[in-house]
Amino acid sequence: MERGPLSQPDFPAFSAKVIPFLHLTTRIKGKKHDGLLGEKGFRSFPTLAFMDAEGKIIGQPAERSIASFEQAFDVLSKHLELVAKHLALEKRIANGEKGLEFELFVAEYNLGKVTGEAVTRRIKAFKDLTPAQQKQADQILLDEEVIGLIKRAMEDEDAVRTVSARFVELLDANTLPSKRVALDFWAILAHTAAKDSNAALLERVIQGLRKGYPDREDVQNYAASLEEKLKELSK
Amino acid sequence: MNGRSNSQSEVFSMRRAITTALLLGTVLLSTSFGAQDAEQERFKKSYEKALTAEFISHGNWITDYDLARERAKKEGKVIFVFFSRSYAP
Repeated sequence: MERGPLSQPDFPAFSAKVIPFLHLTTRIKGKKHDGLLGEKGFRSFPTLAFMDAEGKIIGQPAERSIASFEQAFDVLSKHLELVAKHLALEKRIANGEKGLEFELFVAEYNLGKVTGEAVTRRIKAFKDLTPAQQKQADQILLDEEVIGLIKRAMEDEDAVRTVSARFVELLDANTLPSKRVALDFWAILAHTAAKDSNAALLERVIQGLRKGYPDREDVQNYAASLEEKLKELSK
Repeated sequence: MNGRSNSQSEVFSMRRAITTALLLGTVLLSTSFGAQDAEQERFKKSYEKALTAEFISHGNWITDYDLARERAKKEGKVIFVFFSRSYAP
């Protein structure tokens, strides 16, 4: 590890975004915090993790590479931003500020605190949303529909075709789920396109992936593998 | 006739056995503590050596947990922790 990603030239650029803390278990008697590894629930060396400022473990990188560190950091940063936003809204409401109910709902939804039928119920209860808020509400409702369909397709192979048909309808109407949900949406369409040897659909999936996730190397690699499949279909 | 009765001899033997055991125990304990002290010295030296690794300055790593948390609070950043060890397994 030390001679790997932690010594690479671009590591300092990543470490500047965080507080890089090296904990060495020393077995020196009386050394403060020497048992920290075990206290945090880990058992082996080396271990990498992210902590909040209180020392609570909040995540770990999936792999031992700077790209993986950056990806995990981005996800965590967004989550921490959402937590801060939610706290700030609660404070404003507690101070008597009015008209923040929809914003608070969106903050809770983004934190995963509102799921399933409760999402639809709460959105439908809002009256007099502004056009921008209505657009946001519609996107959330679409995401919830897509999440439900993805779950159905994962649990029941026989449902994949029906789910895929609905996804094609959405694609034709240019009504797409948001990025947080869209990967599984594209994956199900890719699966059906490959199975049906549907080159036209496969091409649309590839375009969707290339355009939607230009910064995600894993997604671009997936798109490249689908392009190989497309070449076979075009022969 | 010797200077001790049978019961006195038994007591004397018992006292000698206890004294020998105590002496032996003390020697063993001293040896053990000596070994532990040597081991602790090794751990301290290994730790000091580990802190000179190049990657530490390369990545600006902090090695103090309390300081890391203080800076994280002050700067509003998450902590990226690398758990390792300085002693040989």
